[in-house]
Amino acid sequence: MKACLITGVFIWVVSAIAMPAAERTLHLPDTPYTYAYLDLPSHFNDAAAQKFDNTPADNPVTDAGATLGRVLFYDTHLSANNTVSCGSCHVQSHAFVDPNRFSKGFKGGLTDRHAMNLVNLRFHPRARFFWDERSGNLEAMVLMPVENRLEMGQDLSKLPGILGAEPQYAELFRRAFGDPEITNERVARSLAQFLRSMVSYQSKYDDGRLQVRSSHDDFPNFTLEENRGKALFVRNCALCHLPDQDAHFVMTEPVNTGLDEDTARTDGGVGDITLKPQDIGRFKSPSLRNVEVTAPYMHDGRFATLDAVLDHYSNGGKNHPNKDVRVQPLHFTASEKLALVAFLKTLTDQAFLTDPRFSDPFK
Amino acid sequence: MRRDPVFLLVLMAIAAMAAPQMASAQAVTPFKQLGQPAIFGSTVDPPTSPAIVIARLMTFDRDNDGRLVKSELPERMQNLLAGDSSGDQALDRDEILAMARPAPPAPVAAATVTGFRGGGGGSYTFGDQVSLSTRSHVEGALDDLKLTSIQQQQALAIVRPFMDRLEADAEAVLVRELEDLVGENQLRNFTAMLERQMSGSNGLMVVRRADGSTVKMNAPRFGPDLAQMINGFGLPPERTSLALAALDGFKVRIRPADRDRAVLLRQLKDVLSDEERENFDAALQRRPLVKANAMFAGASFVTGVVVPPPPPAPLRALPGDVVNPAVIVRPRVLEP
Repeated sequence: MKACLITGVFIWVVSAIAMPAAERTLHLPDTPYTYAYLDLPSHFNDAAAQKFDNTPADNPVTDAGATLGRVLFYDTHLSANNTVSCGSCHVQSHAFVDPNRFSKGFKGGLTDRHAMNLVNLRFHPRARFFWDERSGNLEAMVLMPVENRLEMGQDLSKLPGILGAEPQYAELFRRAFGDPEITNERVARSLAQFLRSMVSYQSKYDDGRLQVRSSHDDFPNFTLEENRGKALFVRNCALCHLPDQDAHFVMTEPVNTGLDEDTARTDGGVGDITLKPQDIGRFKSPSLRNVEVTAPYMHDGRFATLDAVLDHYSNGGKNHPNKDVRVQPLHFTASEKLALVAFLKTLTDQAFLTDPRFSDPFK
Repeated sequence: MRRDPVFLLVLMAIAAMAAPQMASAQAVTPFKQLGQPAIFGSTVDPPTSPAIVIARLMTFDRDNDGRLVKSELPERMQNLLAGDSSGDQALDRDEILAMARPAPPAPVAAATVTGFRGGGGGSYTFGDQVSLSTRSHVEGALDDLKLTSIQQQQALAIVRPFMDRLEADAEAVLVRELEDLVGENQLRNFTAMLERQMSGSNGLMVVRRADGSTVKMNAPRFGPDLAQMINGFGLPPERTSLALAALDGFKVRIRPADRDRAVLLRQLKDVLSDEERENFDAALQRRPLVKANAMFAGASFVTGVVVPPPPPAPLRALPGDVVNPAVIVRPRVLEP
């Protein structure tokens, strides 16, 4: 009896080890999703807001290109050991951040920064990406995590061959680029198209903005607390986070917000790339759209909640020599913080967070 | 359509006033830093010399040999080895220093997007110093409480007379201080201009650009800046300095101080809840920054003070730009 039990356990363990990872099958709709056309609300279309668009003339979003990008985004073949995809760390329900403070790479190692959100990357006017802005455009950015030795560890020289062995790609590349040739440039272009197609514009804020003449007006669809929070945001935060238009909650330059005092041993951000003394401690800021679900916050995920973020700005940050002059102690009261958080939650866009066009096509 | 000619006339009038101010702002006066709203750049001056960068990078020098090899640097920084001018596959202090020194403007790299001028950078000033009156700041703080209309009216019925008294007291002190410093006619002209500027409108002006976009700007006061007026009196330097200091003191006094706020909040006790009064007090203490708005090409405008725009950032490639030469795409250059 005992021998039987041991044998049974042994067989179960061996079979569990030998069993291949669950087979992931690609499911794409018969009629391709629409990515190229966006029915953006008017506040996205005014001249000031349109200036934020970084789409290059030679890589516009197409339905076929973004479809290919979507497949690549979720394909684990982009990692060296076929274990992780871009979507492993950029989770749709979290506005494409990793809900964990640091992300696990293909061998289980941890990154030292929090995965940035991928919301409205199309509307980052400087078109520089990563917390330290080391990437000069989206097309260059997308392959950097793929070849990063900790994140996905893929050898880019082998990538076209690896993808070529997968039956779906010949047709997907043909539709996107006119012929089935697979190159890293095409991989990058299609991934960039997919990322640029991921636009969040259907939040409660957007609904409200459409109903009034100015963002300063009370929104009829907001609660009193949300309108109070909006007024506080407009007066105290919009100078940086909603610059000169009403659509893009994104900063137009990297900023040192006084997260750290030490200039030598903490993350240098942009300064570690440019080697300019005045850039030390400056970081890119992601869009505040969907900020409710993008915790933890800041480049190193040090703040677990929006309350903690507001506390930081309420206190005015630490005394770094490069701290931006706009970061001043704001001394928010408890009720003001609640109102601000209520407003920030109006930026959540459930349609974006559940849009099947951006979901994992492998089942 | 009917608004356009009127709007153009207003713009022309403002432009006509701005021109001499721009000229006078460029003239070097010994006291020009006094009596004007504080204007800030978006960042402070560089903290120290490039030595700070060397000290920082050398924290990665694990074997303390004074050289940084590829394996000692985080992967995201390994492109810095492009600065290895000696060819020894490592960076020493001199090579880091060479990279950390300010570089002359270089041609735009293929992968660098520049050209965006809206929103980022620029100069800032305290919102409550945009004009000579802090009423808009105080009433704006009240507005942000989102009171019922009855509550709002009751609160304004207290706040407005309170601000009248505060400003009248501050004005009286200023005039008293100036009496001993400037001539009789000068004081009369100055007082007239002060009252004109204190009573002028305090709102935002919405300007429609040729491309159809709009930009909100702080409506400039008519008439010369008061500090420039004092500078123009031809007083001895010490008197000019004292007069400008008196003007600065006036600008402080028209902002409700701790004691003033305590009085005002007591008066509002029957109108606002404890929480609302706490929030109002917090808002009055805050001094949010606003942008010194770009009004005409080449000049920024803040109530009577023309501030030259910051020079555009030099265009240079960053070490991380060319990582995958095969996929460099020239981004659309965005027009300012």
